Amino acid sequence: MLKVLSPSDHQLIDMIKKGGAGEERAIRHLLKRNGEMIKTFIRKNNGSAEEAEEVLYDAITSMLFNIRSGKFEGQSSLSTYLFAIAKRRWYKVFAKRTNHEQQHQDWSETLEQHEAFEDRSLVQAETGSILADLLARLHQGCREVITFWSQHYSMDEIAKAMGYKNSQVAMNKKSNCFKQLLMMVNDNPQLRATLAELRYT
Amino acid sequence: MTEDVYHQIERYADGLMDREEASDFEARLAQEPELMESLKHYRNTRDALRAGAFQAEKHRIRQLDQPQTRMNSQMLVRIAAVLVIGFPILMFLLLQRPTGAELAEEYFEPYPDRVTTMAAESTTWEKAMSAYNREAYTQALEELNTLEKQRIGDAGLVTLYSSICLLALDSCEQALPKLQSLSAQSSNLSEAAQWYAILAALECDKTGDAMQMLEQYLNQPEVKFNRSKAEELLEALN
Repeated sequence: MLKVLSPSDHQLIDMIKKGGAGEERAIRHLLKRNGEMIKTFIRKNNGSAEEAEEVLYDAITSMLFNIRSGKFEGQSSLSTYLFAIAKRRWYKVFAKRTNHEQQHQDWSETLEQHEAFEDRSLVQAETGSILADLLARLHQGCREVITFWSQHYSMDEIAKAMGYKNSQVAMNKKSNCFKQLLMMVNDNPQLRATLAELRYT
Repeated sequence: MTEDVYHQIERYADGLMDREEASDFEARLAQEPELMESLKHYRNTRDALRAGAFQAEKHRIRQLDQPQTRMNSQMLVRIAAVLVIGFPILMFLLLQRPTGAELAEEYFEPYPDRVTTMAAESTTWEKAMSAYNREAYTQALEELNTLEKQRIGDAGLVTLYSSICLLALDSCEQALPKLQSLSAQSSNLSEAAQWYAILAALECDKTGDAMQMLEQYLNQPEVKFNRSKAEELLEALN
């Protein structure tokens, strides 16, 4: 019988950067390998089962974004990194819940090295749908580039995915397309004001 | 906002400036409220987009975390339902209409190489066509763009092959206007250009336009290029 080998961190990172079915396999693998441990940690630290699940998904999403953008530099194993993100996220949620701001600050400082990730969620979901409408008004190539960029893919990966010559071409394309989007937002004063008021948790 | 100011804001907001440049820019920000406002506008829009992307990714991960066994049992239920309800549903599934993009992919075949004889790659044309024949469309497109800029060779052929490369690279929005413009010229390439324009319209999900173009294409009695395919495609779309 063939032995099924677990993918190495290096392989998992590669799978995530390439996206598609390989990325989904990598995500399932990471969930299987780390999910229970993270959820147990949160439950043992006053979290409910639902909160544990939310934090796990937040952490995996942050990790994906950081791998894609190159912010994760491989200084620790993926499991360690994911666990650190989840812990930090949980402390933030917990501090908010219990209003223990000082405690949160202390933990944040301890975990400053894992600050790189962005764990944001939209307060006003309808703004997301307005932005999606605006994106839909861009032509397909622009829409794809901006979508990849918002998902934190590096310019190299965007160039590969879009068949551009190099990352500079991708950068120029993103620059022009995002400028178009900014102009559309600018023409909609109400949306512009709403975006200015948004706060992320 | 000028192009230059936009690029400075972009470079600063996306962390692409070195420390010295960023420090100079920050000094300007402190003195120019309009510049600060533009920076906020950039950040607010970017952050909202990224927050939306975050939620979408989180949702996808949640779905990926659904137990496989649940999916398998759902699949079993589906198979059982097909078996129980039987043949009519299976036929319905088989006869489901493909999308425009699927049809475009099904009917797409690269236009034959009318330029080279697969000889040594001594000229840009030969390099372009060599890449084209190997289906290395990105490389072919680069060479064809060079030909276009340098005005070398038959401009119509350059436009046709570059449009086909764009179509193969899923850039139908760029391919379609080029092909439509070539179709409008009465040359020996207009038939081929019309055919690929139809596929580009399908690829871009402009099925109504594609059908109209197909009808016009078939209404020209002299049209020979891919006529039977065009008739078949029109039937599939109807």
